[in-house]
Amino acid sequence: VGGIARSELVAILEVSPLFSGLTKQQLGKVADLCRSATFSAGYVILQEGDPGAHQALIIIDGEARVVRRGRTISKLGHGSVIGEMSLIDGEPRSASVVATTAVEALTIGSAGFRKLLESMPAMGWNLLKTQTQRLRAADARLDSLG
Amino acid sequence: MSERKLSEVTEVIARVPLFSGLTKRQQSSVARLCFEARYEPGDTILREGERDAQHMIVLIDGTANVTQKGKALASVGAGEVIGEMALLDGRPRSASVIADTAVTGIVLYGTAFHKLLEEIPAINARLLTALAQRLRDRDERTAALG
Repeated sequence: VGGIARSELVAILEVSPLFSGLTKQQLGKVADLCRSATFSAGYVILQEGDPGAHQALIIIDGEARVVRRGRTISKLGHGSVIGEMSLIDGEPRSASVVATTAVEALTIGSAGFRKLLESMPAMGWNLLKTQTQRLRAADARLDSLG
Repeated sequence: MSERKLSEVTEVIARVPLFSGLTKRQQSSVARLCFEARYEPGDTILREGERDAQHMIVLIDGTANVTQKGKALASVGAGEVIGEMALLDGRPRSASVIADTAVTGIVLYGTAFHKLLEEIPAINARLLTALAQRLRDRDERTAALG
């Protein structure tokens, strides 16, 4: 994967909350589906409203920010998973993600992502937990405004 | 479910979006793990802040109001899932749910829910879709207010 050894990739994936609890063998399967990508500072990695979602990304180095309607709503860094919502529900991207510094990421295509979710219940479980935490944070934000 | 025959419960379950797309055999294993619950208008189905949440509910009839700190957050009805967040992340209930009309629901306890998630990955994907849609709804409303 773009100059990263498979063993190194497995080590990176292992610490991502999305893949915690997976066996080494499962992590190897995930690694085989990943591609690496780099983005320069200021690059729009995901575009809000984009209907053609085809990949999810895991940030492995650098910082990015989540922007909705021109407003920064959160910051992302090492281990953050982005773009998975559209792969799950098929709706347009809910927010933009813009590289704050140069960003190095791993990408997983939608077919591969789906395959992983179906064959590895631990990953689905991790994703459910992450989504739940995001929903709680969103409810709290809404409550502070309303 | 004790009051109804397993075949009847399986039919009810087949109409719930969370469980549609499962095989008949899978739907009947869901049915074996469920209990039916009925609520009168005004009954508190789930209580905000409750710790050690033990169950989630799939609504099959009637409507209920979701409130947080006394404020209306959403209205839920047939086919919708409530109470799964606290089961997923182990934190207190994020909101109360109060029956608006007479409500019938299918109650699934945490242990059964976890078992189903492990055995039937398709449920996982559907639950993720439901969470993603709720997250989008909250994000929309936050943007509208902020």
